[in-house]
Amino acid sequence: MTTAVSLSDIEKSYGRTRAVAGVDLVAEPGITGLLGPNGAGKTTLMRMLATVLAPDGGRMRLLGHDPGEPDGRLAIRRRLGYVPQEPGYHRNFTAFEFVDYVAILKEMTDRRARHDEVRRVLGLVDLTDVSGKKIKALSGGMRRRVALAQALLGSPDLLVLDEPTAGLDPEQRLRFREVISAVATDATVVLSTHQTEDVSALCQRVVVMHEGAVRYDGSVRGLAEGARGRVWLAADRHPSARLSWRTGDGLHRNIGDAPPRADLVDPTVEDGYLLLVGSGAREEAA
Amino acid sequence: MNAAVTSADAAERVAPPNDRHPMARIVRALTRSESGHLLRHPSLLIGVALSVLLIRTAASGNILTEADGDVALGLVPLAWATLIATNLSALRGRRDGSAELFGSLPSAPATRTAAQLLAGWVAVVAGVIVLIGWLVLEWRSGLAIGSPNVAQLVIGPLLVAGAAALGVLAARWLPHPIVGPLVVVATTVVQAGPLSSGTSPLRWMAFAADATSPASAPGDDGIAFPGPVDWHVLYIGGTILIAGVLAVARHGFSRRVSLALAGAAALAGVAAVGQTRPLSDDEISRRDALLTNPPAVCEVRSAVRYCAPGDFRARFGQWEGPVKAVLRRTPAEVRDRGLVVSMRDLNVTSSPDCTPTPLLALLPPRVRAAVDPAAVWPADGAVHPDREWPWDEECTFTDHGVALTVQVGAWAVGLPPAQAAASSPCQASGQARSVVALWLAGQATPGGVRGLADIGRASGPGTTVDFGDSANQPSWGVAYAKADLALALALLERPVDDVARIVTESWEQLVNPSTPSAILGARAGIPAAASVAGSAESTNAPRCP
Repeated sequence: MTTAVSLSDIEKSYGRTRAVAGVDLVAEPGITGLLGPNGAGKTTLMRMLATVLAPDGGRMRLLGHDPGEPDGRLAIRRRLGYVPQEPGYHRNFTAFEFVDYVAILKEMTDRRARHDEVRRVLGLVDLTDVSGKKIKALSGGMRRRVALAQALLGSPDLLVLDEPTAGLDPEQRLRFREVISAVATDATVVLSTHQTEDVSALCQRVVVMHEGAVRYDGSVRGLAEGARGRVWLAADRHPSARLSWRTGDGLHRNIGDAPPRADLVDPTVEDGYLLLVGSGAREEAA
Repeated sequence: MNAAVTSADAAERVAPPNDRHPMARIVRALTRSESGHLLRHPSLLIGVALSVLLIRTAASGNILTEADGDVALGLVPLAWATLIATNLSALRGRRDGSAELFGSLPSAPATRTAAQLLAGWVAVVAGVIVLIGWLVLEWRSGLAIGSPNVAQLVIGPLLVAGAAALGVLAARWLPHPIVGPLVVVATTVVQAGPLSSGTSPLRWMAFAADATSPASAPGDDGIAFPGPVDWHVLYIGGTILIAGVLAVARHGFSRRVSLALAGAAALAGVAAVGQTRPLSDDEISRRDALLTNPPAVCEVRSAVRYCAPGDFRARFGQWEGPVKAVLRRTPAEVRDRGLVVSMRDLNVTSSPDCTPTPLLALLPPRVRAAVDPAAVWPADGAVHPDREWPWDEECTFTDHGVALTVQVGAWAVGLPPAQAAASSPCQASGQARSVVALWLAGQATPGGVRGLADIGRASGPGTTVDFGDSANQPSWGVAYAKADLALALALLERPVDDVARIVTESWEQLVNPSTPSAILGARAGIPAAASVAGSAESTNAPRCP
């Protein structure tokens, strides 16, 4: 079976800023989470995976094709679903019309079959009832679901989702996980997010980026285990803690170099992530 | 999101087409989608409404052979609205920020551009519907004269198609929403400015060039006249194609695009040459013949001979009633003189707005001499109604019925019915016959009393009645005195049969040039002051024979 995503030493710069610096990444069917603080290079990497941005260097193969070649790029795009970080919507289109428009651009030219498919994906994201409403009249969460619906058209082999859960309420996020987990049985999903809970709940693999480079690439459990022995509860913030916050039960959750006889607790993915990205993550966590 | 999702659901697929380049089918599907949105675009709806209003105003006449050009121009508001709408539609991806998403899809950006260009067909169809609606209304009115030149009419929808292409072109090369309105203004300035001049050597480049100008051949000054209108249509079509291909070319000059551009340029070029090339001698002769000896049809009805260019044959029935109504109040020997009612062909010497066409000055000398009013409008003693019926909002004349019957009345009493091109209207002030002529007209024409009164009121200072733009359209052989008109209007307030009896019994005396109008007033019991006031000679016009 062809590896869906295979990146080797990928680089991308904007002027003097290196957004992506020598990234290696391999993704197979299933869900790969991409974590990282703002400016880590996640969106640049996602845009390269979506073939809308060409890397400056390195080797890239998607679904067995080279996106640098016109024929290869076309072949990839025919099997690709993409939710950009800020998907633009034709505000005066209805949800149905917009998804239908994208479906045409995905070469679904048989009108009846295309409309069936549009109805199917709108049903998947629970937008059937509002499919006739103009997008400008939909809530932010509904619009995100419209974006997801268009990405699901044609059941693509590679789904590139750049922060698809932003703006979704908790229930919608749970349903989103349900849809994506179902899709990922056959497809390769690369999911960029700030939500470590989504990664914990969905991903078989997680990649942590920081300052354009991959800091971690492995299992979700492995990311959490990286923090084992470095997370403890105490009555107060400990001086050796890199991060510390007061939890709901009144104790401080400290992350860092644990003192002797500390009350160690099981680490989470978030703990591992925070430890990994260092000071850059502190501001976010705060 | 749907809680009943299964992997099997998600795995259902809509197979992409098997062909490797399904561009044509994608463009077709996109065009359908874009068309629907364009059709609902507020700008387009406003454009349709404005065009309907403009056509109602600009094409108020019912001579379809001439109104076609004005009606085609009536679609200009729709064209500009289409330009704005297609420009905004083509900028939609940029304005909405969907360019990144669309960039990840297999269809090339050129497919969207092509679809946005083709979606302009809905605006074109809207324009065609407006034109057809106008035609149907004209034909149903029963007053329409002739048939419009289809090629001339087609220029209207082509304007809309061109605007649609221009809107997309601007969006692709200058992608900013302000550019659309600026293009509208710039195009209007160019089209209405240097290219609109009737004598500009570049006027053939204007979309709305008057390609049916009667001018027959290249003038002595070397300015080429617009050629056959079909060449102009082809030229516009080629120009539209160039705009469309250039819009697509923004995404890259592929071999196919380059070939299309070359083809469009060739079409426009050939058509440009076609409409500016020197005409053949045969064609010049044919056109000259049309100008100098226009085909006319004549018909005798109730001893009156009616003549008009073929398209105007329908006027005979419209003229017949008022003419009969004048003649029935005259003695039999007058009717036996054989009245001729003949329409003068004004195509060459004046425009529908009653101004001389500048192209007249550009005609070759031989043709210009042949169509000179002095040659084509002699003092032939015939009645010469103008072409409009029963009204013409553009010209000073407001009642063409009166314009006809006053001439018939003048003919009946021995006055010159119509002005000859080489002479001014003569004076018959204070003569009973001029009052009789005006009375005959007023009593014979539906609304004639009001029409004559309006003309009197609109005449302004001076002692003679100003019948309007008679220099360009010499319908009036006599400069009637206001006092005579006042007396005629007073007579028209009396019972018609009473006045008719007076006129009939004293016909020989009343039509004698030496009989003053006061005699007629006295016989009708109208005070002398009203009948003679202002009847003194007051202009330098010659006395009527």
